[in-house]
Amino acid sequence: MQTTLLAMAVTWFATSLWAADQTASFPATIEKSDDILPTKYRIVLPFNKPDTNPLKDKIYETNVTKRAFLLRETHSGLEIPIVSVRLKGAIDPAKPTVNGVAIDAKINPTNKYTVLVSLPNMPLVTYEASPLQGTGPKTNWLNFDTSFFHLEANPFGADGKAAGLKYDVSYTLTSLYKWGGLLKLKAQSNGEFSLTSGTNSDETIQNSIKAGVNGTYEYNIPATIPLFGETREYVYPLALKVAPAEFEMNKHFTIIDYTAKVLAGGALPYLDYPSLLWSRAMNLDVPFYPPAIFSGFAFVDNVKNNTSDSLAKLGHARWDTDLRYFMPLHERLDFYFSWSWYVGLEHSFWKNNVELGGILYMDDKRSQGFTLTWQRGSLPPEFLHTSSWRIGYTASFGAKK
Amino acid sequence: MISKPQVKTTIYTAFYRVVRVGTQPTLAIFYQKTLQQTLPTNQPDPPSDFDDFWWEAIALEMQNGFMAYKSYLPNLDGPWLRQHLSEKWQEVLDYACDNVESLIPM
Repeated sequence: MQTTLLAMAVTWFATSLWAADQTASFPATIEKSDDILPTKYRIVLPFNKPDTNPLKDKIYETNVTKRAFLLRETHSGLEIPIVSVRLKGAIDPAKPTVNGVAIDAKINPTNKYTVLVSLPNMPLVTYEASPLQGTGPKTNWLNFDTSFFHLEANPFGADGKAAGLKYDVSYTLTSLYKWGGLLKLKAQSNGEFSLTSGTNSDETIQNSIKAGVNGTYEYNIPATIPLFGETREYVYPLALKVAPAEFEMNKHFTIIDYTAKVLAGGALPYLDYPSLLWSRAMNLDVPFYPPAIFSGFAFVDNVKNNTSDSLAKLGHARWDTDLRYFMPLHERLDFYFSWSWYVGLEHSFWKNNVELGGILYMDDKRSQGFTLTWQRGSLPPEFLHTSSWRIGYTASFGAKK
Repeated sequence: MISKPQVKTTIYTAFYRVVRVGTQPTLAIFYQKTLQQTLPTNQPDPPSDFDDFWWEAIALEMQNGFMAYKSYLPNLDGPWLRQHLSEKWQEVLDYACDNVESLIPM
């Protein structure tokens, strides 16, 4: 206790002496850190507001280290160890300046902090960081940080008879750059359920709740493609997803389905080459993605009694695959091909569906056009076999999300 | 630390490493277009388990591009790009120039 008080007194005395030479004070902000950074919160010192900030030009010119910065909790005067300091903002080659610095330190976002910056041949500069608005206690009794928690709730009335709640909640456990790719771990739940009882809500509101955890790893495989005398650098994105435990249940938890999934999706290397050659030869400026295949194994089980018979055909273990190929033939003409394959491993059941066709657009914006498609195969859940030529009209309005 | 011209070419290059096009627009034309105007239209969406597949691929390629310059743009991911669908690439560039930061601490 005596040691702590002595340390506080020394820190306060030292910073007071340092502050005696202080000439300017500026506001700073506390921000939530990205997962790649070493601490959950950070203090950002902006140099461009106001433009007269003396650090704006000096910090990049001088060979500054993190020792130039002193961080302390304003109300107690305690010095907080700084983990790292990073320059913020791209450099303008004409006039090498940066927008600010970000200080990574183990701070409580509900507290107020003071940062002192001391550069050679410059008066001391002080920053005051106010508590992060809208942030509650850093941890709760479950010991997780509530600021990494996302919740959307939408109460609604249905036909004037019943009330329900639609919700979407997620918690990002982590996202990390590993081996040149991005790894994300997430826990999430969403669904809707009735807040009122009785037959009115049974007819108007679903009681469907989903919850689970999943991990995704994304990686872009690079490739070089020669194209009429030029060489283009492309990537073929690849994603792996593991969802070891997903539950679908009703409001009273009397029906619970358990699902475990292992999925992979990716662009198929070099299968875009014919489309690229064609587009380059025709000087088309129509963007397109490379052909991609998505395949996944899912195990579905009824943890509790389920009266529905959704598993009757495919059984508990299923393997679904989708292949999509798309090729612009002209500014107003596209070709596409899709193939879906459904396998019920338990019952040795398998079906597929093929669709190929074209779209002829009526305008340069490609917002509407006519489609001609040939389809053959079966689709879930009934898997009835159909085969036909189809002529249709397609239109898209607004932004595609 | 990455420079502003390097941020400009990194975003453009990363985008066209994922999205294919016969004739690529110039840098100047690209930055005058909205995100939506540069993306493929009417192509089938990936399955719901991979609903951000192409967005994440573009964001990852951009971030890898920044990292090649020992820099990093916080909070850049697929959903963030998708939120800015109706904005011009110039606005994304301005944001990136202001917020990109050094991956290596001082």
